[in-house]
Amino acid sequence: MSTTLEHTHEEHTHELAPHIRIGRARAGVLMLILSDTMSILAILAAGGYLNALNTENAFRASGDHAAGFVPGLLLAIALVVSGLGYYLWARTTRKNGGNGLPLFFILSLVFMLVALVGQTWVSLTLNRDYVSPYSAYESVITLISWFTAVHLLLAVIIGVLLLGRITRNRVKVVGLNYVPEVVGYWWFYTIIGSILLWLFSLVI
Amino acid sequence: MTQVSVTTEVKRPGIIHRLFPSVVSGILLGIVGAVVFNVITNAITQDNNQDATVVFSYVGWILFFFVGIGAFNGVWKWGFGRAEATTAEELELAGKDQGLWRYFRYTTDHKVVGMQYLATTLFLFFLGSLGAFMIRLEQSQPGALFFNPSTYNTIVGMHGILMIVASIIMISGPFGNFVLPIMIGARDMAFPRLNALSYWLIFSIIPVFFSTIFLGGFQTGWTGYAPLSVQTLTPGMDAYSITIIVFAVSTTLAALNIITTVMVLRTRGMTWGRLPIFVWGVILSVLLGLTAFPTFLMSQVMVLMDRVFQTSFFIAAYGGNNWLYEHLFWFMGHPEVYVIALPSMAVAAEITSVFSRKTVYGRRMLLGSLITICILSVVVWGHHLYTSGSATALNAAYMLDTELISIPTGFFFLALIGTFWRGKVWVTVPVLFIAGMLVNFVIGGITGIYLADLPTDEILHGGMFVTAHFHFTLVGSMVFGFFAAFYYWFPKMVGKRLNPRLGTLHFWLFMIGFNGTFLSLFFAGLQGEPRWSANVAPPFATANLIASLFAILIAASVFVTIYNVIITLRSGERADANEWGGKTLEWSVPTPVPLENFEHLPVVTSTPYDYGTPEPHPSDAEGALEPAPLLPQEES
Ligand SMILES: [Cu+2]
Repeated sequence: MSTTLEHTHEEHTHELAPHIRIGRARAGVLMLILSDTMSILAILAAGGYLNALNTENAFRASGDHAAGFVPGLLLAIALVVSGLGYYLWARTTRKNGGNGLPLFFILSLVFMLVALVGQTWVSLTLNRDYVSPYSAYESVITLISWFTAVHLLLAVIIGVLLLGRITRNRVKVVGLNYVPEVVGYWWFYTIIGSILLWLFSLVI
Repeated sequence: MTQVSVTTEVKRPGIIHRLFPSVVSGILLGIVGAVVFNVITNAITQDNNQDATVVFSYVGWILFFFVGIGAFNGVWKWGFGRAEATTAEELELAGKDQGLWRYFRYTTDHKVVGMQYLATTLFLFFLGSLGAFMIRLEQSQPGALFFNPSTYNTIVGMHGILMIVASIIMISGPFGNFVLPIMIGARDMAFPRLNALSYWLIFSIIPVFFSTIFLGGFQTGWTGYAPLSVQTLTPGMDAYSITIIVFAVSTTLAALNIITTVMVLRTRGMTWGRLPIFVWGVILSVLLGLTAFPTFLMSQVMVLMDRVFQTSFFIAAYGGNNWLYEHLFWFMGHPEVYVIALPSMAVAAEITSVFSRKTVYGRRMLLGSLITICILSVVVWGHHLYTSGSATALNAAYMLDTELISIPTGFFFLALIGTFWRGKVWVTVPVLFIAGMLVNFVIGGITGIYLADLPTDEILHGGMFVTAHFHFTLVGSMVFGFFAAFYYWFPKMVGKRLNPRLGTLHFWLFMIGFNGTFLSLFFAGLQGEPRWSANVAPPFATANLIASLFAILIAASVFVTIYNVIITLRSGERADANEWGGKTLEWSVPTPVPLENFEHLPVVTSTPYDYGTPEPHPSDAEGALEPAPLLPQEES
């Protein structure tokens, strides 16, 4: 019984309709973003809470500092450029039936990579400056710094995979043209989340 | 065993395709990964940082386990493959024509994943109950009997977290995967690969979790409270934290998968209003998990940072605070109770309707109350910190909103009793478990009000009363709901009928044993016995002895269940496709369920509870019932 069913329908009929595939991709990524936002909120809440409690007056020891403002600013600019590049690529892709300008995407990926390298450097420098055991303030800054680095790494990995699709001309595959849009959600989310965490590290 | 597979791999090349990728290659590569990461970490950390070694060895294990089982193949192909996976490749990945071996591979078929979850849940419940029996054994008489206090604490902690993990996955895992897609008229989950990933993530942490026994255990109990978790010198605590982190990732993936499935893959006519109540219960539960678990994940990241990198999130001397842990933990910890409860309550409503041959009484009211519980449960976590001194000013608010939860919970009872009311109830094993659930939930719920109440909680907190209370809600109510679901859907999932006499025996042994054990512990709690104390003090000896004696009945019920499953698998009667005369879609497909569930996607025209006038009779199950309200749908 089951076999006849599988044979007659195997090749064509069980493909999901395009609008279902789009809805599925959007919903999946948005929920991933919701979940990840909760972990960012957990970090913000933890930092703010420890700051407010200032247990034993030891939250921030004298001489404790965040990462330098200028490197942070440069990284933020790199991320904004990356976002802009991605936006332009996705826009041209949408307007030209899947044939976007890959240059924009490469620009976006390169700047994301620059941000990753920079963020890793910032994190490593921080840990060289801080003396263990770290104060709660230094702990929060360390967490923010590495959390951001991991997110940028994830974006770079996704970017490289997407570059693979672009070079194989798989972005305009019929029924899969939502990929630039949906990956974009995560791309922009990474950028906004990282900048938000950086700003938080400045004010805490 | 692993060695054998290596040699066969070399001698018979044909089998390589079967073993790679599979769980065998996953484990082999995972061990290699752990060793490699171990050596590298030892080389980098000069000062013999034991915690770092343990943490990164496990990272290596998990990463390479998933390389070995083939989890990254699809990712790689998405980026660098020449074309999209064909339908034939997808069916191959779904386990087409692979027999039982598909259960040991990265198989995407939702029914395979459901069975994997079911087997894992039962396995974890079994191990967790062994822990429970060790606890009752140690507590049967005053003084140290078998274990030293540290071992005892580890056993309590392992029992706790095992049971919590098992009951978080017990319904959304097995039935949310196997039954839910069929119920909404889908051919599979929205993200089949993520589905396999969410299961195998749980599989990958089972050895990590049990390794804590060999790494000195963890003395914090299941809550892993800081700063003890940070000060604990044994690396068993690292294994605990890794387990939680990976588990949180797994539940997140499972949650987004289930929600997306219901959002986009409902068949024609399956409107939100016609969605079976079980589906509502599961999506509300996983939605709650999706928002609650990330904070738990972050709390364990912070614990590991404190342990490995000498940060101070929870160390007061350097500006950290234990309250931070308590808030992060309970922001997950209270909703988690409802992550467990909501699907179980929904199952109870679903099954009650089928066996009363009546529509769910006050279905909208019930749905509304489940949603209300879902929302309220996010804002009540502070009741776990009443006596901590953290937010004294907010205690009254926490008390009020916690007690508000009893209102929608009351509606749940109303809905179930209303459904049973004047139905000709077909008393089966699932119905027995629901009756038991209702009784136990009253006791669990009402004792909860005393704990939500500030003045009484001042006296009762930290005592056996709390232990007895949450066992009544989690075990007496929700695990009973799980067993109702288990006996209800087992014939569909396995194709065989569990022995109803043994099922009835299971129920009565469990019900009497459970009530005897935990009513005694309520008494011990009222006498003032503290929780988490390895040795029973003489004033509480009698209550604890009685509890331990009744626990023997629970132990007997466990073995009755195991025996029942084994004889059913070996020589059980074949089950009917529609074993109970249910009207939800899973009963409209053949047993065993075909690979893609439906030949033609059904069109739904009504809710699945239209039983007409309540004239049920057991013979209805013989197929005398009119078919479910379905019409074949034209394929688009
Ligand atoms: Cu609670």
